[in-house]
Amino acid sequence: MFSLSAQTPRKDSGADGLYNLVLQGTVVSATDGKPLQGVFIRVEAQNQQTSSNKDGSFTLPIKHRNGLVKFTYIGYKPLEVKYSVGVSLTIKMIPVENQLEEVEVVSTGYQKIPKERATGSFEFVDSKLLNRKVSTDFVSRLEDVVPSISSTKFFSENKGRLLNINVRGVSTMNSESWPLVVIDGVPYPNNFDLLNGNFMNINPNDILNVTVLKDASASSIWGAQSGNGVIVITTKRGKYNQPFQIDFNSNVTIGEKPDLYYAPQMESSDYIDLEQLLFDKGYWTSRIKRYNGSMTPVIQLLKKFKENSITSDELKSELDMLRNVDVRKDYLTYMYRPSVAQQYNLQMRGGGETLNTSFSFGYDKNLDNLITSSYDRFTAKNNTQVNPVKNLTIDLGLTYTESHNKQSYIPMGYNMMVRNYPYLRLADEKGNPLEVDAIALNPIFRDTVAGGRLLNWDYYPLDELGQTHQNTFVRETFANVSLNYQLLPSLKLSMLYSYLRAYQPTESWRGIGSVQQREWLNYHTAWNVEGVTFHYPVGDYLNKLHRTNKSQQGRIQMNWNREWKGKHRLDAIAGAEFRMVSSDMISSVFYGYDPEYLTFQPVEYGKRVPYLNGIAGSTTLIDASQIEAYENRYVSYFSNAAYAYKDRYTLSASVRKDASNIFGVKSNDKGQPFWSLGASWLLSAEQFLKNKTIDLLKLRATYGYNGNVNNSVAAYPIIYLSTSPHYMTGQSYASIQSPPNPKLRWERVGMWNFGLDFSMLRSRLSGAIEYYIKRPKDLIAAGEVDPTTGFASLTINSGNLDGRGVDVMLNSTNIKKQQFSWMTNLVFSYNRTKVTRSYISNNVARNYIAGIGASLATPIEGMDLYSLLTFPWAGLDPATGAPQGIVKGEVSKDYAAIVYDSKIEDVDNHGSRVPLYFGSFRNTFNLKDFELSFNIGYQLGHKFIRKSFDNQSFIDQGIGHADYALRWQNPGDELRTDVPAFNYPNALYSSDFYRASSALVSSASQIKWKDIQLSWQLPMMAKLPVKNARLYAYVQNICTLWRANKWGVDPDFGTNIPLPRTYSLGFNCSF
Amino acid sequence: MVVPKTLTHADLLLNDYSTMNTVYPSWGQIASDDSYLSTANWQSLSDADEKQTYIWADDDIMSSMQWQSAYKAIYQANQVLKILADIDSKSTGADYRRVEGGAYFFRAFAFHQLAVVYAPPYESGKGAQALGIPLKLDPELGGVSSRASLEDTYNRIVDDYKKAITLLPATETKLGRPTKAAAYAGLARVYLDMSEFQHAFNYAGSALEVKNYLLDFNDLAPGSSQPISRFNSEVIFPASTTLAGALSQYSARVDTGLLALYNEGDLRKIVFFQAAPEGDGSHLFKGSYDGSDTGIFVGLTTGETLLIRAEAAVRLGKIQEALSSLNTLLNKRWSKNSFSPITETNPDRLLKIILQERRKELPFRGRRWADLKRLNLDASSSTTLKRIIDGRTYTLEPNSLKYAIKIPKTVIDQSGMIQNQR
Repeated sequence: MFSLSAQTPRKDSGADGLYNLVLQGTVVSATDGKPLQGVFIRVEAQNQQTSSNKDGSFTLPIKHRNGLVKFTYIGYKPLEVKYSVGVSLTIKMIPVENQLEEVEVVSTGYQKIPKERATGSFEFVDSKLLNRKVSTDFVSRLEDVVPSISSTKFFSENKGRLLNINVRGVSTMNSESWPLVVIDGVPYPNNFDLLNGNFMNINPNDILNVTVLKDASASSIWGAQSGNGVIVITTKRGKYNQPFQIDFNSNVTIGEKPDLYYAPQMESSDYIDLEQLLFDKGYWTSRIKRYNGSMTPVIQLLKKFKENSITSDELKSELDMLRNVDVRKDYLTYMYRPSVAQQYNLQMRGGGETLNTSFSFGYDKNLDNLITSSYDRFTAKNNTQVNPVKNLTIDLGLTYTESHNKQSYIPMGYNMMVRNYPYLRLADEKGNPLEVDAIALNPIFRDTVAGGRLLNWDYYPLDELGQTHQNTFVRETFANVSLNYQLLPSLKLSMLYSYLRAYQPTESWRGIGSVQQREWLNYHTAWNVEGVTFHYPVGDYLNKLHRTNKSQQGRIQMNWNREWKGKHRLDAIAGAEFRMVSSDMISSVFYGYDPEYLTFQPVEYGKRVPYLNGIAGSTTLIDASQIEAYENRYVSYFSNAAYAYKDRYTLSASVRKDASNIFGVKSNDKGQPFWSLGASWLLSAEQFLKNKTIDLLKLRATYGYNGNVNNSVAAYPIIYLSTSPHYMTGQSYASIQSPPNPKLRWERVGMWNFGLDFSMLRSRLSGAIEYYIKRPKDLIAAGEVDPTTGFASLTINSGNLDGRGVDVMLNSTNIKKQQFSWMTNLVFSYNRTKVTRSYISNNVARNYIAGIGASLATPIEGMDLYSLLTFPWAGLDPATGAPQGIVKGEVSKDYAAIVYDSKIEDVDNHGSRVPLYFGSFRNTFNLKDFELSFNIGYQLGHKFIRKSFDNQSFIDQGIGHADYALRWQNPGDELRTDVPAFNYPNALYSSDFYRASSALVSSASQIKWKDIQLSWQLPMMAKLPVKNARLYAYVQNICTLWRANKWGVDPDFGTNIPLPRTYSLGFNCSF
Repeated sequence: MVVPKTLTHADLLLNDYSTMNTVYPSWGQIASDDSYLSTANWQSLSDADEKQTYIWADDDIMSSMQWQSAYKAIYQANQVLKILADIDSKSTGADYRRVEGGAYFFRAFAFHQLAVVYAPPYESGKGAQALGIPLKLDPELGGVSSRASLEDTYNRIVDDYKKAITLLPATETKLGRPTKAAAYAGLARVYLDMSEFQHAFNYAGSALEVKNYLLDFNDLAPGSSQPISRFNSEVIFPASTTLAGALSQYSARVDTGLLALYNEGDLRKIVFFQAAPEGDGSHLFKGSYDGSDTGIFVGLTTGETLLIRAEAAVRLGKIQEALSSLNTLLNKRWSKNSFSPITETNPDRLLKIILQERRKELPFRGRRWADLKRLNLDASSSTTLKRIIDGRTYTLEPNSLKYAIKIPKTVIDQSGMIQNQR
């Protein structure tokens, strides 16, 4: 690490006496050989010290002829060397940055710790691994890369906005369950508002590395926010004494259209037959006369036939034509496109002796699959480090992000209409837009109401694609400054201040060209023989919503780092932190808006007006403008110390106390201490283990407490002062947000962690194995209560959990030749979270039966936190095809008893709904200048319940499913199918039973080929000033290699269509 | 978001119209004979509890929504009283009294609405043995709730109304908030249900002294689909039930016997009803005092109060007072110049006329269920109800235990309170 380059015997050293021995030498920087002034030089054993002169030289009177002398200098690694009087020392000190590149250094956000000295559990993702994948967001790059991180893909819409990842499983029932994200020491707020979350704002190209803090020792320094783990991001910065350099990176990603044929859509012909059956049985008899019910084209035809306005031949030919239509064809042709994502990034950095800086600019432009959706983002970032005077460094960081997310205001995707019948057509054979019946009004009524004097009700989706939009902009400024001052060689003062301001204007526009706007205007009308009065002015609707989120943080921290006698080492920090998070929102609504002249017209707010001329009653013209603001403040005190003996035995401890103004955490409970203890033993440094096979062997153990904040419940009653007047009375009012809960406490997560790090055969085989026990306590959860309280459910500190898990990381270099190498990385995680205590003494099974696509916790003692519970299935009745369950041990069709009376012990528990075993298997091959790697991901050991056709959903909502074709039709069918016979009227609760029955449960295990990456390091182009030119290609979401269920369902995505395959091509280089 | 501490906060909580005024149970109306459902419409109802209630089935009520939402109003009223109790007692000005009176009023009104649906009819002297409803009197959420006796239930309702009377102002500018007249009228309604006719007569009279405006049906547009508007001047206190598919204009058809009661010239027939789109001679109801087809109006009106006074008067032998109240009302209900005042002086016959007018004035108002309960106690005015669905006939005998609708299963499961017997 350090170097003692010259030891020249001095000729004039003969007159050495007891009291006039002198140690002399020079200190220079190892990188450029320049002398260093002010280096602190100390001979510990004799309590003598000095510092170096301008030319780097030093002279120190000493007492003993031989000994140890220590050199300390800010920004450089301290070093201790043996001296011998008479030998002049030339000390080359190594800058810290260089050292950091050599040793894996993890960051907690408060301090950087060489991984060798850490007792806690960290996962480190370096720049190379992070950049292996191509994406706009950074979150997805953490998937399948390190153990313990599992991702949730149920909510495809909010990808990149919410984190949707868990570290070591879920450790809460009802509170924030995503990990805390920290950027350069500052928490990045993730709960401002769910719609416009900002994780997409973090440009992955700006990230140098990521550390995941997994256990109490690593993360409890983050106190009440750390219960879900912490993700610490360090951004790229310049280096001292580094020549100016430009890095350029660009790529383009093409994504296939979503596979709509994955959706188990009911056959059009079946759908039409079933509609006809319901029609014949009288389901529509009163409905077709209602003015406000929508009717599918088939119902309209049947009605016409019933009214004798078409003949049976005409009916048949019309229906037969529709039988051949599949809506997915039109959606794929007209609504979806291959997605295109472009990414450009430019980095410039360089540094002199006292200053270094880096600038980066990024631009992303994404055209999403849905033709009305797009996203673009511009980021600019600067990190500067200055060393203005001795012992002082100042770090400045400034990031500006501007992003623009564009969607249609009216949902345009597949299955987004009012009734989604499979024979819907968007265009005729020539591509001319067709009218779609999607307005919830009877067509006859529509055509005749107000004598046809209202605005046009017709809906041509393809003509109206551009008639609405919702533009969400995020303009975010993130500034931080930190100051480090070396007060004493072992004592450093750090101060940090950061300011984050995200301004998010959202513009929701509904033009008069959209049927939804015309419908809105039509509804607010009154008419008589003379004319029609529109109570909202005829024109566009515009809602401008301005949200400003602010976060400020200040921190003062003392760092104590000292080594003595060559054996002892103490690293300690202590400090205090203040954080303020605030958000305000103002929303203005304009009617009669004209986008060309930017004019709008007044509305008589507060006035009661007839609704559809009184046909639908009356309504009040309500001003939907809103103003909202909140502010949360936190104060924390923290300390952390690690003592190492001979660098072999390390003990660590941390403590943190948090207090906040969050409602209702009772004052005596406000300050909540979180703490941890840890120890590690570097076995490989012991004499008895010194051999050639083992390079590193280290044992670790920690215990401590993290916390989790829940802002939504309170010890006091909380009321919400409505920001807009009541829609019926026009008066301001307040409503109960949450009832009082005086016993409320913060959630705590106790965690044991045991780890073994190893490296052997000259690092050919390395890795880590960890076992942990995670015990979240006092979890806030909703439980059903006596409705006589006025509430159907209440949130209380009701649960304890017990999570156990194993994280394994194995890295192996299988082949290492001059021209060729093959490396394998195996990531394996096991996590199982069970409920050990649940105060809710309700054992009615239906409260814990979530059904399809939902994620409902099952806080039942002894069960997995997310257990899949379903009603036991006893097959179909051979005579009628009716579903059969079990009541009191007997086969039964008493569906009310099954659905409502079944107790928890009466239903089937299929085990965990979240994967118990997950991880990835990555292989990397290097041949000359080429690198090829591919990743296989697996999720095993969990169950899911799939969708099927159920009678009630079809009858009430027109929701079909391909399983209809498999339904029971004749005796004997029960041997081949579990899909019940179709009946109208449908037996009460029979569909509720079938939808949540064991008949629909399968194993969710699957193994997927996640991605493949190929890169080519271009040979040096000697004549060009280009270095490190690299071409890369990347394919993601390749295919499923193995799947346990036979239904073709990808359980990762719930009821959504899986993410399409994407192909990327990119280039990066440096100048 | 704030912790409620001030009078303003308490005041704003009572302005929460959705929670305080629109949450009352509709089971009684669904089970009563104002309307009927065709087999097809009954089959196509999506709410199973509504289906079962319509045919008076013994099955449990699975959804606790109607129970919980009415108790939410009670919780909120209790919360308001708690906030007021914690405010410095010096500040007991007019606003303080208005808010406190409002809270007592809402609690009384909600308890009464619940008692009508979930408790058996009140019989003087027998209330101590019968079960009423749980009486939640504070906003605490712990503890196990149990049913009070029917006697205690009605005593509490009466007490709360009486407190409200002393505290509430005579006028109120905020829509949806009670006045002194509302508390008088509410109390008169309770006393009528208890067959305490002297009290009913007195309090109805007090209410009418403060507020006696009546809509003149000649001024309404009977052709309109909602001829009576929300918050009209005849409403003493607006309230409605939660939405019920079984009572909507699409499904519910007006009982033919009820329809036959209206005479030529009685405007209520065309204001309240119109021919249903089926074209089979059936009618739908469109005369909601809520001006909508969402929930059923169950609030208090001048019209109802006049009928309370008339009925109580005739039962007390005050024939002239009864005739005066009745004719005051009918004069505004008949088309101009076609109305000839009622002059019947035989108490029994006059009572019959008044009860019939009550039926004609208050369809789809949640009152029919309460009236059936109390009138069935007297064999001379009892009624047997019938339903026919898919060829099968269901009947509800007078004084059947089924007049106390079953308490939702969740409530029984959670609290262990006693279920209404079958």
